[in-house]
Amino acid sequence: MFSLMLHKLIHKKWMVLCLLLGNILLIAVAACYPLYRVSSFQRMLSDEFEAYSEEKGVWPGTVNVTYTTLKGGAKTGFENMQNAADEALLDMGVEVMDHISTYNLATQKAVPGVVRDNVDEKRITLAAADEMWEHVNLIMGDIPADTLTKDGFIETVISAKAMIDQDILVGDEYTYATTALIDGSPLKVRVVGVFEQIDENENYWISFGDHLKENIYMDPQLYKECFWGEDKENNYSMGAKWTYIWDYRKVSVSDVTALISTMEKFDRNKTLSGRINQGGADTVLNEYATKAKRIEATLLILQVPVLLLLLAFLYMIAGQMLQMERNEISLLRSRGAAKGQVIGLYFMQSVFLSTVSLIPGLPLAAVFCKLLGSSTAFLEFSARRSLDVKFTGDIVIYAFFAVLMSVIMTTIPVIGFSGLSIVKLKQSKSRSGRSLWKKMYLDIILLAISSYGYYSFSKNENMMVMNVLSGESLDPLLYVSFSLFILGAGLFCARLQPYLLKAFFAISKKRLKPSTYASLLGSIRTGAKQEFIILFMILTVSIGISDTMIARTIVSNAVNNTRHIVGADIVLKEKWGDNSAYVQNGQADTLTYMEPDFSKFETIEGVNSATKVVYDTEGKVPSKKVSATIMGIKTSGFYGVTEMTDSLNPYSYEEYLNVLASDPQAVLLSENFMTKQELHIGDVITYENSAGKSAVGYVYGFFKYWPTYSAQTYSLNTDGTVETTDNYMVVTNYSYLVKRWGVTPYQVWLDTSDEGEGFYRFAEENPSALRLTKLENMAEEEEAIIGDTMFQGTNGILSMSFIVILLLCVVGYLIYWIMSIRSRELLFGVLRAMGMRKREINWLLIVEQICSGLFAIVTGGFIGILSSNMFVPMIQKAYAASEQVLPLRLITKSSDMIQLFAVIGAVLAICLVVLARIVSTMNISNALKLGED
Amino acid sequence: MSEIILETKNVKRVFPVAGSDPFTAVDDVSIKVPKGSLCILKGRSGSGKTTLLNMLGALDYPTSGEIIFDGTDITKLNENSREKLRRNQVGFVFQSVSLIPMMSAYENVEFALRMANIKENRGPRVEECLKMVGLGARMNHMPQEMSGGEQQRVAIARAVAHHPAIIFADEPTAELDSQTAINVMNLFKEMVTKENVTIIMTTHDTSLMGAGDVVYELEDGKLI
Repeated sequence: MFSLMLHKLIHKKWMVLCLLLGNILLIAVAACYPLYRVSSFQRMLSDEFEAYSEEKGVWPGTVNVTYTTLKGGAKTGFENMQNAADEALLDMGVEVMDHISTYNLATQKAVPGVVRDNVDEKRITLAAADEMWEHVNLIMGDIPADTLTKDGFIETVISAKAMIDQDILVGDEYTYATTALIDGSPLKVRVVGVFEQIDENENYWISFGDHLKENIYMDPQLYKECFWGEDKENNYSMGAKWTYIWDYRKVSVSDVTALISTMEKFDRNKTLSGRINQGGADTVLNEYATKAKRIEATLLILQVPVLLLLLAFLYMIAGQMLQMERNEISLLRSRGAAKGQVIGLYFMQSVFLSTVSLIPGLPLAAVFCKLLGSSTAFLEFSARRSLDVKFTGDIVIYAFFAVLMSVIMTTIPVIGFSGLSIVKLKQSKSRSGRSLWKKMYLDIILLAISSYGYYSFSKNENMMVMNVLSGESLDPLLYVSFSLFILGAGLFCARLQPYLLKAFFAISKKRLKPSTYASLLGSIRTGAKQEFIILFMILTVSIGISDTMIARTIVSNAVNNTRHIVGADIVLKEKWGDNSAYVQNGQADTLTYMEPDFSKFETIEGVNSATKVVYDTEGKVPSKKVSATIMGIKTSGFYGVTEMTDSLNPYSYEEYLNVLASDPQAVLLSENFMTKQELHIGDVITYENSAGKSAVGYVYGFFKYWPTYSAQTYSLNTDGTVETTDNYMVVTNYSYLVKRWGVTPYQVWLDTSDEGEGFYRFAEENPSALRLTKLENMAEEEEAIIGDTMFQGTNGILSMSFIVILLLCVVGYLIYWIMSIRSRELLFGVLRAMGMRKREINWLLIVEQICSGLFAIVTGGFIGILSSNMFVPMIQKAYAASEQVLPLRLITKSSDMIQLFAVIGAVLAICLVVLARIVSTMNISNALKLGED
Repeated sequence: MSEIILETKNVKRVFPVAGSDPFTAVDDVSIKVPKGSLCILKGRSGSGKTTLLNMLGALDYPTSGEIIFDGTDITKLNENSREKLRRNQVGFVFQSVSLIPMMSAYENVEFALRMANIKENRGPRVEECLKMVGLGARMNHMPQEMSGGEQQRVAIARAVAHHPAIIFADEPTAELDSQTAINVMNLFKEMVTKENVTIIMTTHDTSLMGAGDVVYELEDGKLI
């Protein structure tokens, strides 16, 4: 049977190649997802850790276990606590780089042996730290002994800093007034040395902090002997801190879930609960997990259409192959092969083909994964951002499922055919039933379901914002509605097509040329055969279009939005000098600022223009009891560095700026001053800055949108509800504010032509000239958006889908028509015999292509645009819900459309050329002989 | 003898055979077919009769020789004129399914009229032809819904519909039972008289020979 199968395959090499192509792509697409997930999530995880570390200035992989006991209250025991802490770290399974244990008695009064400067009492903390001696240099004296001295003293050392701060000298002796050793003898310490840190940046010192300036340190072993142990601990108030520095860079994404649950376990652990602190790693990991879940769901959903299309492609090709093999099957059946044997033969073929496809499919998955990881925009890839591809066990599962689905899709059609005997074959040729989906009105049902989905989602848009804010992913149902809508509309159009043809045919029947007549009639009568290819093309085009629209829209909206919020290419604030010290001392009455040199910005290479912007987010409008952002601008300078789309506001940007410039005291207000605070044009308002200085303004206009302004901000409360805050803004003239308030610190807004490169060079070369307290660079923000796993994954997956779809479209369409023409050679022979010219036959084919291909392209385009307009605004919410300020604009890049339609156009053209070639080489008499078999 | 409508002079057709000597399918055949006759080309399978018929019907070119149709050597005509000839002057009936599968019986016949660019009174002529072949009641049936004999009768109706001067029929009875075959032959004879058309058909069935006005027999590509 295997050899029969191979024989069969060799004879159908084109079909087999198509099946292989479909299988390879299916496996690659399915398997590249887990690959990409692992690699990109790893990148995301380390980015999150780095960001946290940068922002908070701490090493996120720090576990602190602290334990303090009061005299008379010890329960757990320090030894136990230390073991519990060690065990916890073992449980976490992380790589511990450093391990610091510090111990101390409560700070208490100590009486010096020799009184200096009339100080007869000091508060000194006796402390110890494991392995301390390995990390210090003694400047003076000795390392403390690990036993009590013969005269009952505990030897200690002190840091050079503490020596000064505490005024302690080597040789000093102190006796603690209220604490004694366990045998009742007084607790006496002697300072025997002074040390300094070998390297103060070492991890070892991370948990010492300022204590180094206060404490005296004894031998840790001796400390434990003196104060630890069941019999002793009850007598002392003391503490211990165990710090573990672990390497967060070694955490792999697959460990995250386990790590989080281990960390959560500590909170329930009786010994550790409340005493263990994860130093930020828990926050980072939890944030990562939420984000990862969201991204994972989103990316998975985005992939579904292309996977379905691939399966449909396999189904179609398998069906075509069966059509060609109908005679063989009926022959097999008539010669006594059981139905099961026929199915078995095809099943074996499916398994064989899809298994063979694994060999090129998996490496291709790695290529796809690299492509995904390097995508910078839709259909744009940059080698700069490459991704380490790691093969994991996951991909076996995904690849297995791909193979399984492929086997199912390519075997299903066989079941219908396997019952064919020669008799039934003859009968079936005379029957042309309506497709099941038509009888079931599947198109109408799908449209109804998806429209309901659209309706309920659009009604609950705020709900969606809240869900996304609380860390949930894009609701899969939304995307399902989107896909079902495309499918439903595609099916509906495929249902409609025959009616359109019939209508056209009925009207023009009498006047048609023979070739057009034959072609149209053929398309009408054999419509069921074309249904699938038409549907396939419609889906290809519409999914292709919506892919480009989703990708372009999501990224460009995020970028535009960020640009709006940032305000200009570069927004910075310098450190201003002031006389606050004098004001505090009473040497000056009012606070005055010293303005840094502004002219330098105008000389920086790459900076087109610079302007001063007073920007105070903590201003007030006292009469309305609202806080507001006060913005003071130089209108022409501001116009040079910012941009606003005119259609967003009732008036053009220029008009706003002109009216502001016309009166020094003019103010422009955010629209909610009018709608919620009942201010009108012509009103006079008083507003204050954060320092409480007031100014008066005449209201000249209201705006909906203004650079940096967002009317509302959403935030998530701890109880999970979303809070909406109204934001107010007052825009006025910089010159007026300065006149009124004196020199006021301002932000500098720059318009650059080189993405800020010149500026950075300047900052590097002139560190003293630029002392910044704030810097926002639009180019960097943009890069961050593009590099964000969510955006990049979306872009990558949609680009990949798009490419795969185009490929399928080319191959599927070509193979369909080549097969279709091959099966009609006899017919063409008859037509030629009846005197039809070759070019008439070609025209017949062209008309056929118009009825199917062109129809599919046009309707597919229409469906793609319609469905994107309906669903993309909602899908987009999953990406930038909290910061969406600007209204969403659907972005279509004409180059994508050109690409899409050029490829499809080329497909049609190639298809026609190939078909015409087949027709022209077709020998009439040979074609006719075919029928004599 | 009446007027000669079709004449061949030393027609020869050689097919190149890959890796072997060329094969001569028709060798030096000269025949004359009078107008308004039923001419039968007889011979066993592989005797070259179909090849000869294809050349006569301007579907194929002879390697050498002349084919004179109504005073014109059609071997000298260009493809365009031959196509025109086929659509206006000639009708074909083939051995097996030669109907256009997506057209009904009526549409198949009408299509021949469309091809010949006949615009007037198409409907009545189609009905007339179908009634003539005894299928007046099944005009709107699709080919798949008809028996082999019925399909062949539709093909005959189609071949005659546009008033061709000559009809070529390649083994029109080969797939039919003897009863039906005789009916088809009778139909041909009827056409010859009623429509004043010339019919050239091939057959290997010796029992039908008697029906022919002119009979040529071929063996290994040669007339005997």
